[in-house]
Amino acid sequence: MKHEEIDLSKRSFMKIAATLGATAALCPLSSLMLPDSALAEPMVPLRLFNPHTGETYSVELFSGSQWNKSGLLVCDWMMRDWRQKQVVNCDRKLYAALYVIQRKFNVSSPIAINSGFRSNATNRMLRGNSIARNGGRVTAESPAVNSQHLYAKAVDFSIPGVPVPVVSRYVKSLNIGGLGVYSTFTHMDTGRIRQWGRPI
Amino acid sequence: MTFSRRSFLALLTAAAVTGMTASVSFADGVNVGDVIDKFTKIRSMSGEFVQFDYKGNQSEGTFAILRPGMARFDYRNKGGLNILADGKTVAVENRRLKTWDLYPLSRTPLNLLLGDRIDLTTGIIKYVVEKDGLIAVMLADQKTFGNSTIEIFFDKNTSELRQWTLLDEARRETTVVVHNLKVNTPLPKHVFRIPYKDIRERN
Repeated sequence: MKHEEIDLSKRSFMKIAATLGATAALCPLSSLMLPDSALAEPMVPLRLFNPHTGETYSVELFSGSQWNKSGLLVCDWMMRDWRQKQVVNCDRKLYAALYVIQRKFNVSSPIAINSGFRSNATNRMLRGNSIARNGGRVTAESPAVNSQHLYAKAVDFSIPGVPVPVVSRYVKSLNIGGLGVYSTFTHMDTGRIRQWGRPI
Repeated sequence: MTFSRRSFLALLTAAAVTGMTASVSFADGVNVGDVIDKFTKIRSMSGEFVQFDYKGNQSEGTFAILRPGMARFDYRNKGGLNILADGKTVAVENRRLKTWDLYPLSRTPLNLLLGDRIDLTTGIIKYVVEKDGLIAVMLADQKTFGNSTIEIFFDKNTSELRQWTLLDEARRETTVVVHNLKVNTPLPKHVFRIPYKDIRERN
């Protein structure tokens, strides 16, 4: 359970946000602050694992200071609703955030994507299952009717070797949007800033 | 020197019809068949490219290749092109005009670059030359591609792909130089999906 953390300064976050924001016209990253080290150092691939499908991919997310289109598509594929076989373009801020998080904790195992984009059908099904498991009661852990997963703006993930509260505290410091802390994973979305779930 | 080497090799490859091309070797023991074999055994490839077209324009971007027959080229400049090959079809998007053109992959020489193998015995290799540490392999097939050809350049020492030059029917030349190559990093086929629905709606 040991991991080394990379220290990222606030100033360097701002610098990269400006770079990506200016060049990636389709998706300014101004609201997400990316670390200097993320782009200035030799690029490392973002490594993703989907525990449902067993797929693992190493993603080249950036090319210089710009997004790499094929890398984004690999991410979209890993975030797909595999139950309904639907792939959509997800919010790139999530990918940039996952990249920053991976670099922060510097672990060798890939980030596990528990859930990314959800179709209406899948979200209804998961909500129904969760309520049924809790004897018909809606709990804080039940998928919301209006979940950000429906808009491809949310990801549930975990990093093998790093405890969920540790990851969640870091996600909170990024100020991206919603943070949900569950027993085995962290929910991160790019909606309004809010927090729920277990205390961290 | 280059010319005499070229003509010497051209002579050698004139024997291609008899299946001799595979055994073209250079003085230092580098065998062309081995170089091509190494190249086609790479299942996936991605990196960056710089393209020089016949008008003298230079553009750049990122690309990814998955054998057999899949590729995408994303040009960085706004309003430029995007090129996609999904194993059967090549789709060229003109972002400025917001149009798509579709071609059967099997009719474009790109098919040779993306194929599982390059058959050395069919006479498709027109010549092999060596220059500045690069090995250039010229591929043509009048029956399939008409006058279009592709010349593929490999690093002589590492067999790594370095560039290719396409000549179209009108003999217009486009050269693509690749760098920052990552090889055999798996890619899902989704990366190479041609958006047929969007194309139908747009065209």
